[in-house]
Amino acid sequence: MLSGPSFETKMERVSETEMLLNMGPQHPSTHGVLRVVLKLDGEVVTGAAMDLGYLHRGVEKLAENRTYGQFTILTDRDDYLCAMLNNWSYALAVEKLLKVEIPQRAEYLRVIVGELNRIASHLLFIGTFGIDIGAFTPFLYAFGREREMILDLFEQLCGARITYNYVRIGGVSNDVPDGWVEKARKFVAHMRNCLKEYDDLLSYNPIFMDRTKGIGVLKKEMAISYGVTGPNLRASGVPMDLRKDAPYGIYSKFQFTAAVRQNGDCWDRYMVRRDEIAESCSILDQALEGLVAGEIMGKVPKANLRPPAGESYAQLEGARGVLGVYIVSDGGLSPYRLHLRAPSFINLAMLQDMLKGWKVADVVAILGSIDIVLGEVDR
Amino acid sequence: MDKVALLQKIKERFPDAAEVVSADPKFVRAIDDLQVKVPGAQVKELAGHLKQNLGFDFLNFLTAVDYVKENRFEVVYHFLRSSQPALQLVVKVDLPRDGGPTLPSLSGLFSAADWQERETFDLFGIGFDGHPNPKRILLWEGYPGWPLRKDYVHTADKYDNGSEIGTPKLPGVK
Repeated sequence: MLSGPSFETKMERVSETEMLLNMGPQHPSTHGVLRVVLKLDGEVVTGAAMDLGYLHRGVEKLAENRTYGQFTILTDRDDYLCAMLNNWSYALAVEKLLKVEIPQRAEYLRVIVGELNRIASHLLFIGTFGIDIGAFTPFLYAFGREREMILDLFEQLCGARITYNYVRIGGVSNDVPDGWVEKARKFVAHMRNCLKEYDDLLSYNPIFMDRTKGIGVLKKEMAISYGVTGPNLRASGVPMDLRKDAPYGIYSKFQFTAAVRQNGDCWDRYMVRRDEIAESCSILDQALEGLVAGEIMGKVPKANLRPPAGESYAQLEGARGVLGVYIVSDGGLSPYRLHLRAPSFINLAMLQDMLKGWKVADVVAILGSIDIVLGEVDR
Repeated sequence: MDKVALLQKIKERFPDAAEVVSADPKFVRAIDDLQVKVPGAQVKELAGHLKQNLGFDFLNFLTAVDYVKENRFEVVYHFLRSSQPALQLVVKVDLPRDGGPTLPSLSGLFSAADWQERETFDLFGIGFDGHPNPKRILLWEGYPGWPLRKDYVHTADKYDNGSEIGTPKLPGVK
């Protein structure tokens, strides 16, 4: 029972006063299939080791057997909660190889769908994190109401609700239908009001704050050492946001601030995401305002796409951190090598150190607050 | 610090470090950042130097590429400064494919290397000396072979449904 690939050497011997507790792989608060082996001294966690790979599909190997166009579909399945951003990061990497110019309208549409998807992903986080802590109601609002509106918008745009395959190499697949921009504007206005509602329901709820404030503190140095990115890093006081620091697409045109908090506890990680929804709303306002007319696809061959031999790396700010795609091309029909820098995988690694010293009841709060998607962890 | 000055700084301490240039002028290097290649034995020392003296405190990611025709692996490290993520530094290391290829582990310097070195070991069979927990991470113990190596042969199992595994075949394309 106690043999697992990841914890034997990581954890020292279990002494007589300690016990091992298996959490998962089938556990509702792991948000997928993740096994965490906890070493407990009474109620205090003294060691933790993760066992992963339950969802491993070998995406990087699959890429070597698919054409460049075919692989876009698989990027949807990595982080299925913000598939648009996954499509986009892959498209960016291939476009760098091709040196193709993207039409302005497509750039705007990418920002619009990207930010909408970021909001959808953070809404799911707010809902499920509430459930992890024991507050069921916010889920019905964030997940069941607002996120649903975004999915409806996406469905009208490209026919899919979760796996979009919308951002393509060279542009986007569909132009917006009539009246879509107006609906998106209405949604943004609605979303702003909802934030106040979430604050009343969850953010400043005394029980929620008791369970999350000062819990699971992630120090700046540890976050940097573990290569943590995204909201988790910004909650620890490091203002790294690629949209600001290394703008891709047309992000340099927009006015916004990166959401940063200083304490690095579970509440701050929650609040950074809540603040980011507001920032995304402001980017969306500007992007919907500035949406120019024109083409939506650059000049890229529709079939038999063969990028020249070379190598390319593109990264963007995903909902969970830096989403990077590294491609080595040999001039053939499919990538010679493709590597995904998956933020969930890299963020999850810190959990083995982070859980030490906290109570077993905090484990669920800490695990929930780092917001992982197992599809991306295991790839 | 621009690329030239950075390369100069690295070369002062590591004379063997060389900027990566391609012999083929058509080769597209769509990574604007400085790329240096060092001998495998020096990579840990270089990483320590980058962290302590040059401000590269963030290991963005590491992975490997199998150049089977040239009989080598290339291990790729992307470093950056957390205060200035636009500027990256790519460090590459060549390893012979034969025998048991190993590199010194960076996990003592960058905790990010812990799982990513395990992933590289898991999929390529590249060992990392000094790693605290050198085990497979995504696949299970006892998995046959190293799947991301180019000479990996898929063993047929009950999950195969007759679909072919190989390079894509498109109508009219050879």
